[in-house]
Amino acid sequence: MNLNKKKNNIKQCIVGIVCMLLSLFSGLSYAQNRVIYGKVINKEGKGLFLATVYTENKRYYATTDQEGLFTLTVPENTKILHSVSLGYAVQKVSLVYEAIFDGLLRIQLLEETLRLKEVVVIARIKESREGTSVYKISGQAIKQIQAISLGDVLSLLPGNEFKESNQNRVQQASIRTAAASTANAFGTAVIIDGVAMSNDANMQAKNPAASLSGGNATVARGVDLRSIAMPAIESVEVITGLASPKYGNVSSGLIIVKSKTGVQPLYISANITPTTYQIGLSKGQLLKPKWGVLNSNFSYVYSNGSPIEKKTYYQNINLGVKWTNVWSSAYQWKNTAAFQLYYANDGNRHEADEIYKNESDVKSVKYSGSLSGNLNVLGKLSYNFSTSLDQQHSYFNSMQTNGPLPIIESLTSGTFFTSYTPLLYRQVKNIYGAPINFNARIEAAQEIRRDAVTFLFETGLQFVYDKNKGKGRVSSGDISFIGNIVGSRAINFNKIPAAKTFSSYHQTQILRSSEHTSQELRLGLRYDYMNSRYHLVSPRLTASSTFYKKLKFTAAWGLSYKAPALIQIYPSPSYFDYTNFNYYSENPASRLAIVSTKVIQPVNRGLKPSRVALKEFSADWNSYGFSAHLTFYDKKLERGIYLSPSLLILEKQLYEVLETPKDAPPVVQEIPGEIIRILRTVNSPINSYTAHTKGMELTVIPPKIEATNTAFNVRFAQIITEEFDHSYRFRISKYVIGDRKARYGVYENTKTTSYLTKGSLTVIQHLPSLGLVCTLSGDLNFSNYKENEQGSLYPYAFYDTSGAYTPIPENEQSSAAYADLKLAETSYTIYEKPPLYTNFNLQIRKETEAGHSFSFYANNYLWKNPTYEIHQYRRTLNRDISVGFSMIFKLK
Amino acid sequence: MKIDSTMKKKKFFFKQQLLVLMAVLCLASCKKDDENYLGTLEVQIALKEGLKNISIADLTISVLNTVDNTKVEGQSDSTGNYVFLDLPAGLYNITVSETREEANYALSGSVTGIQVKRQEVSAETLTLDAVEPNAGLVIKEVYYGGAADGYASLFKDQFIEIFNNSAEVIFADGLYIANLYGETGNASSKHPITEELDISKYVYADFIDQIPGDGTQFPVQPGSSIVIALNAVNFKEGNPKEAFAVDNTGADLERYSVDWRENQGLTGNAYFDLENPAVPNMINIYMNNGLWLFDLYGTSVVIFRQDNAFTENDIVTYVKEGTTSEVFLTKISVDTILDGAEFLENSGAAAYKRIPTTVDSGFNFLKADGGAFYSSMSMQRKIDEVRSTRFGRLLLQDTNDSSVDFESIASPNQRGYDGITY
Repeated sequence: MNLNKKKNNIKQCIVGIVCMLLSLFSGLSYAQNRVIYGKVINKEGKGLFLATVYTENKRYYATTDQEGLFTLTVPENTKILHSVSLGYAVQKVSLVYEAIFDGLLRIQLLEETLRLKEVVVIARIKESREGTSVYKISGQAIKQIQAISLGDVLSLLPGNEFKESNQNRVQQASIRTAAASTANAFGTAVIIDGVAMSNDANMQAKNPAASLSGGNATVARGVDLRSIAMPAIESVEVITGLASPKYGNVSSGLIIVKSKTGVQPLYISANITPTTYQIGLSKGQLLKPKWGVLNSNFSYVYSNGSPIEKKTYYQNINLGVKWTNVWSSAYQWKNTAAFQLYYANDGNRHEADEIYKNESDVKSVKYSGSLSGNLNVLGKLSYNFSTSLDQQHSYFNSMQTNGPLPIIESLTSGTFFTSYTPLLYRQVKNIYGAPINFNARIEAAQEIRRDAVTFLFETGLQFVYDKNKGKGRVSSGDISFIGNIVGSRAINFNKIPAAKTFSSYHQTQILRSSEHTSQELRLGLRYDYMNSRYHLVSPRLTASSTFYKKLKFTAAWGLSYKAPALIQIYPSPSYFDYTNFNYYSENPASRLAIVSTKVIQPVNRGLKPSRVALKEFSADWNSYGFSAHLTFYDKKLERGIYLSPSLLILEKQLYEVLETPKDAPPVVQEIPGEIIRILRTVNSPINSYTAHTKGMELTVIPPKIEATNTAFNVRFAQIITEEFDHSYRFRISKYVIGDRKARYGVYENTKTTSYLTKGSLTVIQHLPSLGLVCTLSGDLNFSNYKENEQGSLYPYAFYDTSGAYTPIPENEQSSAAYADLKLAETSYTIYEKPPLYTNFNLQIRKETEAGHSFSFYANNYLWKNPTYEIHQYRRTLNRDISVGFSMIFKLK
Repeated sequence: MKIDSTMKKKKFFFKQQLLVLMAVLCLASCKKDDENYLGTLEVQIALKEGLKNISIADLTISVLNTVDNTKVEGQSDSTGNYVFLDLPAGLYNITVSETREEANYALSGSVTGIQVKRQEVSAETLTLDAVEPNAGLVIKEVYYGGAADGYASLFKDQFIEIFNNSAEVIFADGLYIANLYGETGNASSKHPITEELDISKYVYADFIDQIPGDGTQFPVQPGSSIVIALNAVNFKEGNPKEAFAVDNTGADLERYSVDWRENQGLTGNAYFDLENPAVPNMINIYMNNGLWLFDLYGTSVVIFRQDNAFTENDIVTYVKEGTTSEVFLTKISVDTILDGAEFLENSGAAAYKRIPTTVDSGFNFLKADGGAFYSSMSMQRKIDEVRSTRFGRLLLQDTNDSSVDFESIASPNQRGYDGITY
């Protein structure tokens, strides 16, 4: 019955959307428009293919053909047009003053170099239909900080700081949180050219029964930002506020990456730091007439764990081709087909001075393809189809030195007679994963204008499919008893069902403008039918008002959801082993171990998506060369997924020896009635985590000093995050002596509050005549610490060794009877609060007239490793000085 | 302007003279610098209150520089005084240990961490006690540092050997063995246990076990030992570096605590606990952290007897300065201790003693400058050659001072004194 009801809901949604499209299409009005024919050219007068021409509000745009020609229909009262192309600076033209010759409006673009008067090397707030609080990081800024991968780019955002790129550790996004958490990173979406990268089907955890993290695993975490290399990237936009309803399965912001599209000469780049080397190539080749542009890119990164040792290393290769063409000028049909190959390898070498060979090699080869485009049908129709296959292989080969241990390999529950491993033995583990993702989205946008009011409608449908087709976890070598750590064994990933989500969304944007003011209202709604189980409705509302084109106020509110990862919904079985009988005789032939295994298969089908409610208010001022942006936000994450413990009671049967035959294991029998109850804890993911973040972001750009061409940028962020796990925790008795037995106390969790206050002042000295830009920034770290709420040191209940649960009356909890269960007095000690300190960073970039670029940075160069004392321990505040060098050669 | 050759020569000669003068001045200042770093230490010997008619003349006083581990000796004069001249400034340990055979006692005492300052006279009084050699069970060897077999054995091969220093059979049944908790004085040590806990009346153990038996089951012959191993396993089996590994299958007792821990509702540690059915097990009394483990960097061990069982009242909570974690130790009355041996990480670790001087007035170490873990080295009590010859049987040295009673040896010597006759 429920299934039928759900099917009906879906049908109704689809019918409704189709009707809306038809009604809108019939209601379109193009009254009072003007058609502009034009040509975008470079300095030499040559037409530029795939240049974009757009109005100031970006609602009307066109793409040039191979001759650089465009046709753009705009409202009659349009006065300004902008134009931009890959490698060229944005050009503004006035339709009032520009002369139109031969019926063509000519727009000349200048190459974007450091010799232009204006250069942007910081993250700037921009207005965007993709969301609120959008920071744009241009190609010039990416080059200035010598970003090696996407994670480095985020250092330009308020609340972050510039530091040496570390390619040996997984890079995760941490947007608007004072407490970096896996839940926050997991909820950040990465979109490349409209294609959302998915990490939901990644299951490459070594021992997921104990932990999903460890090493460089990104299971149930965000996309590893190292996988996006910067040589192919044109610009990055980070949406830290409320995202458009176009985007689903996201709870902590978006990173939208735009790769290079268009004609460009061959660029060869090299990035060098003490631990990392990167080489990159990118080129945009104009194909035969009418065949568009082929953009190709290649990048190789190699990184060591430290400058003085080569034990741990990381390397990746990115290879991509993208074919873009305008198939129809009449319909403005621009289509892009792209293919990307990504290879990554985290390795652990055997060093000559290490006694035993211990190696690990975590590899992944990802193939992804996409087809996307837009055309003037049903208003503006855009589509995006993408698929990816990731072939993952994690290999661990280690010499175990903890023998002799009982050998255990069972995949089923039971009691087994076995023997022992040698003193030293080799263990090899292989994990084969193959996450597959398919994502299809289609969207139509229309506009209606009535006098001073404009209505914009965006409506779309989306389908996402995630599955892991890998062989799973395979081990060889003696699989020994691993003590009291719950273990994971062989499992086939392919047997795990796929995750599917059907979505539809709509946004109505209402714009009204008068002489001195303008208002905008965005009413968005998204519906997701997730994993055949959840119906999720996400409203997203934004209202703004602008006065005299100088002062703008914006308020936003919305909900968004993030689905659990596949491994959280379908965790692999957990294995609990314990020794019933240990008989390690001197004679190897006489040895016997009796071991029991208990297999627990957690069932998490009831796990819900986490939900974020965001409220935001911001004010922008833009006038006389001075701009400021101030935002206050309140973000509440609920139903976040954390591991909650429960107790498992195992029964350990004891044995006695009946006979000891020569050169054979002993003959044993169970001792009647001799059973020891063993308690173990099982962790299961539940929706128990909440995080409430309140924050403030400020960005100020004062007017430039024209005489010296010196610019300034101030950014500041204050974030407070309160985290709470609504489940409970266990603590075993602190000590046991005499005839007493241990107990498991049950305690409430307490709230943890994290404080992060950071500011940054950047001075930008630009010398256009020399093609030189120098930035000096001081990162001010005001506070970065956590504190725990004072909770009770006493349990509210306990479990005994038989598994019986006993609540403790509140007036008895602190009595001597429970002294063994009292938590340490220092359990809620305030974490250390470091003093204010500053990092100073210098970046210098020089561009030659030929377009070659050389840059250098020094991080922490004025004040490195300051120390402070706390609890008589000396701690350092920042890191040692680090430097890097980069070259980009432009070959025409 | 031309410079003629005469002028050049004069200039050169002047430069030479100047250089020579500078060299002389430098050397003179260096010599002065060397002398500046020397000091004087005056040691005055005194007897512990209550002792009478004991001469303190002609006693050998040893002074050990804890920085470079050089030793200087001197003989006390008739008043028990000796002045050490020209000692490099630094920290010193002072020891006296001398056996007075005719009276069947030994004079013993030590002070540690004495500062000698440059260009100053430091005076220190060293109080000696007259100690009767232990005529009962003594700790003969503690092998705690781990084998040099490339981590194949790790520290699973630890053992302690207890020797019967008397002329009669002693039954080891019921004897307790305890490892005392505390930092060892290694590079990361900052807080001796004595900052928080008073060791004058109690010592504090993180594990205790007991030899089983009803009083007749574990006899130890005079001049023989009983060996208790963590695991009575042959660690040479399957070991690529078996020459450095230990065979513990000859142990008299071993520890096995997995079933005991799980019966308590705790978790046993199968990494380090193997059960050799041919070797009886110790009785588990108390374990703080799930491991029966002598500290690799330095261990302090006591053997003792008491009638009362341990209860929760004997539990002491210890929180080290600068940390928030609690450690739960069991206190042992000093009055119950039969013997103690104090081994720390290096010669300068005096502040980290865990045993009071009334039980062990000194301390010892595997290597004077530390870093001896996984070296196969072991600490063994010396043979008292003089008394062994005198009494015609093997006797081990026991002046209640580990700094003179023990020595570090290159590899464990389990039952190495068996069969030695005098």
